[in-house]
Amino acid sequence: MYLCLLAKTFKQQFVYRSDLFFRTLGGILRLYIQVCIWTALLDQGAAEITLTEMVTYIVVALLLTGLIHSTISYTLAERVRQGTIALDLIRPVDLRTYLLCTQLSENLFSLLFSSLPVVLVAVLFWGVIWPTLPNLLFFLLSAGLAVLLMFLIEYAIGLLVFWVKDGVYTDFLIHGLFSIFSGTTIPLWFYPEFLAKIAYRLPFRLITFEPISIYLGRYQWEESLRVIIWQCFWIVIFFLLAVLIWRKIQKSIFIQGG
Amino acid sequence: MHLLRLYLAFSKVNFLTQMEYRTQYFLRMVTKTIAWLTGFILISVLLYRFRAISGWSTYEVLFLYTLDVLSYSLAATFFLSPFQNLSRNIRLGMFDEVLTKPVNPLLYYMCTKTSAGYVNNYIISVVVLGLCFKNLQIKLTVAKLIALVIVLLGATLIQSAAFMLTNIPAFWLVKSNSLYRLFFSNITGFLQYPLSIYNRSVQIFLTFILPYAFVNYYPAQYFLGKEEYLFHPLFQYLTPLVGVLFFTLAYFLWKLGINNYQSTGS
Repeated sequence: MYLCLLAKTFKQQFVYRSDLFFRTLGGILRLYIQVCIWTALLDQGAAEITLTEMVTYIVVALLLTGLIHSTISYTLAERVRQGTIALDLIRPVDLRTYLLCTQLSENLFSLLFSSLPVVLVAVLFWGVIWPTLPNLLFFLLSAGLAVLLMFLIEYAIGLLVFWVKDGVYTDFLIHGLFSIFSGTTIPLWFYPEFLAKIAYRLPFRLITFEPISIYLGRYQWEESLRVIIWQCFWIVIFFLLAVLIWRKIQKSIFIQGG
Repeated sequence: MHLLRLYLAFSKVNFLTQMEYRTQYFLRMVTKTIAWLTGFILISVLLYRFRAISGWSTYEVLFLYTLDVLSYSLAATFFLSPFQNLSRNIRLGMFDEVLTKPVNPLLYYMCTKTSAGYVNNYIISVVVLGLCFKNLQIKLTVAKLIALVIVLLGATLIQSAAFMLTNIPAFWLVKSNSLYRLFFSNITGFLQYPLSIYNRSVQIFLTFILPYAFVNYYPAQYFLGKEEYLFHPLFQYLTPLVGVLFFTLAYFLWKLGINNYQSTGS
């Protein structure tokens, strides 16, 4: 069933070919801007990181954010607002699985067709670091867990929309917290101590920062393992949270309009 | 004068409708503020560690960014909603209404869709601007204040023109918002940091072809006393002129679009 959904989403996405072109162009521009910023910063000396490492960081971060990109909390909100959520609830498919599947296929699509050209540009113009095999394996595992974790966070917070009734809030909230505490645009190594401390207590760093650190070979394998255990821990937490909220909702659901 | 009164009347109705749901409005403002603050926070975090980027200190970069945010918010207040939805309005035939009113279509279209959602941005921007002036020890004389207002007007015209230009293709193509999205989610990314860190071709592009550098980079040179002239020292004064020219171009294309407009008839 999942494969069927995947194929359908791919087909749907292909319809907008010019859209794809612009998205790729956007990705390349973003990469270029980031590289320029870091070139200017690292030129000033004082660095525990080389430019090639940083370029690699940016590229992998771009791929990961492409993979975890999610409009789930927004979609949920739209459906609640329009009342079509009622239909989703009586479908014979679990809402959570359905949302994850469509989102994931959309992301795989954009990974294949609009992120790969960006990677190619990075490799040709600046060069990137390739990981060792064990690091790569650890990275793939933790990237997979990161996708799952981000999805569960989006889903759990997105469910709050049943009370607040407007997805804009939940969406902004997640993305605001994410961009400050995930270390996606600025690696947490460069954070002032008090902010880094907060970031280490929150789950957001596990989504891009930690997998990339593994990829770059910054961790011994015990440390990599610790990252993966933390990821599992947060996955369980958000899974339970989502189940709890879902229970509450089922008791008090109130459908608008219908 | 008559038009101004009309505009104010429209805006008032608009603002009041948006304020109708008081708690909704408030919550929206809070979350939006958080989202917009992240930009300022990330710049501060990065430059806290590195102190400066190609000779621009934290507050200088913040000043740069604030000029962009404030002029964007001012432009978005009037132009975002009408132009972001232009292609949809045309497709659904809702645009017909605009042309049947005895007022300038652009004015009518703009003021029926004015947004009340940027108040928080004005506040953040003014506060950050104040902090920048204080920390950079720039005396805000009357002359400077007037200059700031004029620069903001020019920058707002440039940003407004961009809202129009990226969406006007909707008159010819049915579905066209990729250009708009590319522009506002990627090209504006160049404005966060000084133009001097980019390649020469980018500098030429953002100065002569798409004059976005006039929104913040060039006028910032004037206020901060930067002598980092990429092309000519005169450029730091040109923002109002570029704004008027760029907006005129956008208005011309808008006229062309309207003349070409054929109702979808639904």
